[in-house]
Amino acid sequence: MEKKDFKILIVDDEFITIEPIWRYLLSVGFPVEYAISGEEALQKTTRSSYALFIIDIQMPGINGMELLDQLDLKSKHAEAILVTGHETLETAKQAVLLGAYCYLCKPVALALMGNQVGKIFELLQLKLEKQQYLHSLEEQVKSRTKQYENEKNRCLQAEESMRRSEERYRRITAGITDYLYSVFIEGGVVVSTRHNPACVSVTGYTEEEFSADPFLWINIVPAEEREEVKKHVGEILAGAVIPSIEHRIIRKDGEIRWVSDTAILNKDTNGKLVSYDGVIKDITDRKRDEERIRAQIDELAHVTRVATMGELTSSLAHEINQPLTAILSNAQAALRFMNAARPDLTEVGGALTDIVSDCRRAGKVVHEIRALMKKEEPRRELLDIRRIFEEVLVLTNSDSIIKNVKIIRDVPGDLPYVYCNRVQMQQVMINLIVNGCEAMKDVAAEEKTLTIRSVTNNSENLVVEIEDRGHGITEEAREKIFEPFFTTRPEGLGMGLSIAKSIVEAHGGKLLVRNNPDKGATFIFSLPVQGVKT
Amino acid sequence: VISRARDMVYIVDDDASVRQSLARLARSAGYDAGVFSSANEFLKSPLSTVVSCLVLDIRMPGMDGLSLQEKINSMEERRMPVVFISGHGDVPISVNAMKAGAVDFLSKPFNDDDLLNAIRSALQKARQTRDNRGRMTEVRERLDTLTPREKEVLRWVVAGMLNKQVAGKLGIAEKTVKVHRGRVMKKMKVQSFAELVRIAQEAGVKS
Repeated sequence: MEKKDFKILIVDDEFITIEPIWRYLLSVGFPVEYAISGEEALQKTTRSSYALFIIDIQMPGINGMELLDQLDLKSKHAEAILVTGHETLETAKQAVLLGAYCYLCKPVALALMGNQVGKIFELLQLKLEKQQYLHSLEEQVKSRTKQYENEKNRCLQAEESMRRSEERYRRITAGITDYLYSVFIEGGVVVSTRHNPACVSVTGYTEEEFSADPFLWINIVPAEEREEVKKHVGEILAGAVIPSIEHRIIRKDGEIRWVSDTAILNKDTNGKLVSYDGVIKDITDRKRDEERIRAQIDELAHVTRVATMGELTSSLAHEINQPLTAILSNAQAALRFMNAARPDLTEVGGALTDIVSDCRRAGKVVHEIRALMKKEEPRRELLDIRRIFEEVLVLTNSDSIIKNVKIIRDVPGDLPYVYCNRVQMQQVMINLIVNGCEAMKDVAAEEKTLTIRSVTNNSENLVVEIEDRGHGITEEAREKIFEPFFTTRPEGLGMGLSIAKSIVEAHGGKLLVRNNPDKGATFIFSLPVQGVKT
Repeated sequence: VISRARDMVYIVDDDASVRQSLARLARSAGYDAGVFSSANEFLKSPLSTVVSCLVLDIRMPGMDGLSLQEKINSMEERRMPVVFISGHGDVPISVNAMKAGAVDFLSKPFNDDDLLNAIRSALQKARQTRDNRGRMTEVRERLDTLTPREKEVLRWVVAGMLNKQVAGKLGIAEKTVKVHRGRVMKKMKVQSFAELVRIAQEAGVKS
């Protein structure tokens, strides 16, 4: 605060008293006003505020004491100096009680007055500083309080949202029909598990039963699948991120159901597995659908296989006729050698040996035909694709000869094994080979070659290519070629390629076709590799 | 002891069992047998000079039976009678084969007698052709001994002219024609005029 802000009002009914004080205070730098009555002074305070009042006690009308009372100095943060001509104990006491700073007697010694005013000015300054300090302190407290409240609100909100989320999680897990579980791990060892109520609906066992028996989870797996499930869990505990496993379980009521088990790993900041959560889902319905679809494909495959064999009848007859011709000729030649004047037993022996091998050959053809025509439980096994080629070529040999097609085999000896249904794979290959030969019907004889090629382009897939030198496939036909009942042959059923594609896809593979850059088309099918030839 | 060379039966069939069994059957009937797995193999191999026939499968990869028949018919040194065998009783093909000169057409499987009879006929035909061809060579050799004048006289005589007409045509005496004719008969080793006309015609002597 500066002096110019320290406004002083002198209240006295005698101008003669006012003037020297007024002059003096003005000269030391304070803004000074005066009022000649208590009434005027009150009036002035309504328009302006004063830091110091210098009041004469004896005034007509509102006297000094009354004025002091009415000014209510405290609320104005103002001070007052009382001036009196009659110094009495009573008035002095009263003045102090009313809050006056000091009490001076007339005639007022200006030096004393100045001294007092200076003191009051300093006091006021201190007061203001203190006020400011208090104010800033208060502000600080306020802002801190606000911060605290914000913090508190945030905590409350977080708490609330956590509560809500927990509630939601509880509702979801309680309402969910899938069996959720958590496994907690310390030092690579399972220390506890938790199960949601749906474990009852999936397995028939309660949460308590799972908690009480630490081996229940594996004991509900049928014995023959336990090793695989254990291996799966072992991999999870080793921290491997692996896809879900599908296996069967025996429910408490004895019913066998299919489930899928998917685990999500929780690792700490060091990457160490601390727990994992899993979902066990009942997929029995899906499995049944899959089995039904597979059964339908098997059924359809059988029907089309029989139809294909029907189309191949004349070449199959030829395939048996060849060894029969050889057998007959050898047998009759043997008889002639026996009946000669000097029987040639070497020739007879040779004839008999050849007869045996041709009987075997004819038997093999019959066997392959029967295997293809027979409707049996489709079984998948680990097979060498080369053997399937050989079996198929026994049956298609005559067809390619009739069509005057040369078959080139480009099949390396070290192909990996594939897990497949033998008869269905044969069917796919027969279809592709017969189609390929058919495609070259009106091609020059020296061009008629069908190449069967097999490669493993990576370790995951075995790829078989059947390449013809025909006219290729039109853009229009290419779109429909794998659709049922699409055929370019009047006698064809139009199911061959459609079912071949279904079979390959049911084996987890793909069947596609592309035109060769120069001539003809190539059908390509891939099968997932399951094992390595040993 | 003089051992007469056996007749040869060539067998072309892509099926090893069939061609070996047919070879054995041929051997059991006293023939030599040669086997080939394809038309090309047969065309590339050197052949025996003995009387031969061919047992040929109709359907084979590469060149088929009918094409091989056509091919050897156009080759002087490989031309021989053909017996066709087929696993498919296809009638149109058998018609074509027979028209192209096949001796027989048999459907697999067949009886030994059927095949051996067909082979016998084929070899007989082959022998006949060879005999004819041998006699023709002889006639040509004799024709080569004739003088130009004698050849001229032969040509007109074979054409049916009388000695007198020939004399007029050549501007020589009828008596001289008679002398030439006598020498021709002697050189051609024929007993009668009729025989002379026949072999001259067979040998392609034209008027």
